[in-house]
Amino acid sequence: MADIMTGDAMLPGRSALAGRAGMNVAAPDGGKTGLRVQEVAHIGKINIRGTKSIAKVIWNHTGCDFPPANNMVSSAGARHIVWLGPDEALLLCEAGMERDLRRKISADLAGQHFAATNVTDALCVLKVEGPDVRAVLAKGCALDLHPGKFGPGQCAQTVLAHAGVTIIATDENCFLLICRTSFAPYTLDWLQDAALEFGFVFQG
Amino acid sequence: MLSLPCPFCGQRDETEFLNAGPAKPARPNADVTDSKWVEWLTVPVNTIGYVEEKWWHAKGCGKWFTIKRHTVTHEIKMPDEDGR
Ligand SMILES: [Zn+2]
Repeated sequence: MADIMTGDAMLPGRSALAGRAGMNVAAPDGGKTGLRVQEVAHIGKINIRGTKSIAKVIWNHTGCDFPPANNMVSSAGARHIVWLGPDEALLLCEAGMERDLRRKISADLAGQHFAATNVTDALCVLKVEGPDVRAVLAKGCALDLHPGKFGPGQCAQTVLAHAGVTIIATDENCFLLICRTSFAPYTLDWLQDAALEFGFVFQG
Repeated sequence: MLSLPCPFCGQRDETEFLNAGPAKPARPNADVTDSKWVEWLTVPVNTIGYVEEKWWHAKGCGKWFTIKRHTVTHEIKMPDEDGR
C-alpha cells in the first residue's frame, strides 16, 4: 500500500545487493584482504533542495551542524548531512526513520521554497574499506584520492567506472560509496574485479 | 583531458562535466538587419585565443559556470580574471 498524500511507499524492503554472497577472492600474496565491501542496507536517505536559509530547521532535526565547507559532511550519531551542491544536501539517517524525519522537516518548512524527497530506495550505500581501498577506487575515478587531498569528513560527487557516485571519506581507509540502486550490482562487480590483485571480501 | 575549476567543488576532471557551448555575444536588438541576425544565429566565431564557454558540472554538484578557455593552449581562466 502506498500513502498517496505523502508519497511514502509502504512496501516490504529488499536491499539492492541481497543474495550476492560468495564473491570473495583471497589476497594473491596470502596477506591481508585489500578491500572489504559491505552494503549499508536500508539506511534512510532524504534529498534536500533549498538555500542555506532552510538549514537551521534541518540541522535542528538531525543534531548536525552545518558542514564546515563545500563538499563536506557533518555528523551527529547515526545522522549525517552530506553537502552535495550549491543548493543540495543528502541527509542520512537510521534505517526506518526517513519517513518520519522527512514529514517533520516538511512540516517545519511549510510555506518556504524547498524540497525534501525520500530517496532511500533510489540509492544504495556501500561501506568500502581496507588497506588498498584508495588504490582500488583510483582505478575508476579521476578524483584526487590522496589522503592529504581527500580525508575524513570530505565528500564528492564524481564518476566511478562511468557510474555517477557520491564518495564520503569516513576514515583514512574507509569510505561510504553511494550509487544508484540500479547500478549497485554493476558497482559491486566492478569493485571485485578492480580488487582482484589485493583480495576482496563482500560481507553482504 | 581538461581539468576544470568548478566554483563549488574546485578543480575536477573533464569527465564530470558537460560542455554547454560558447557563451554567445549578446542577442541583437529587434531592429537588427536580416544579415546580422543570421550571422548571430548561425556563424560560429571560431576564435584563435580565449573563448568564453559554459560548462555544467553534471556528474558533480550540478553547478553551471562560465570559463575562458584558450583554443590553442587549453589554458583556463575565470571570466573575471581579466577585468570582466
Ligand atoms: Zn561542482
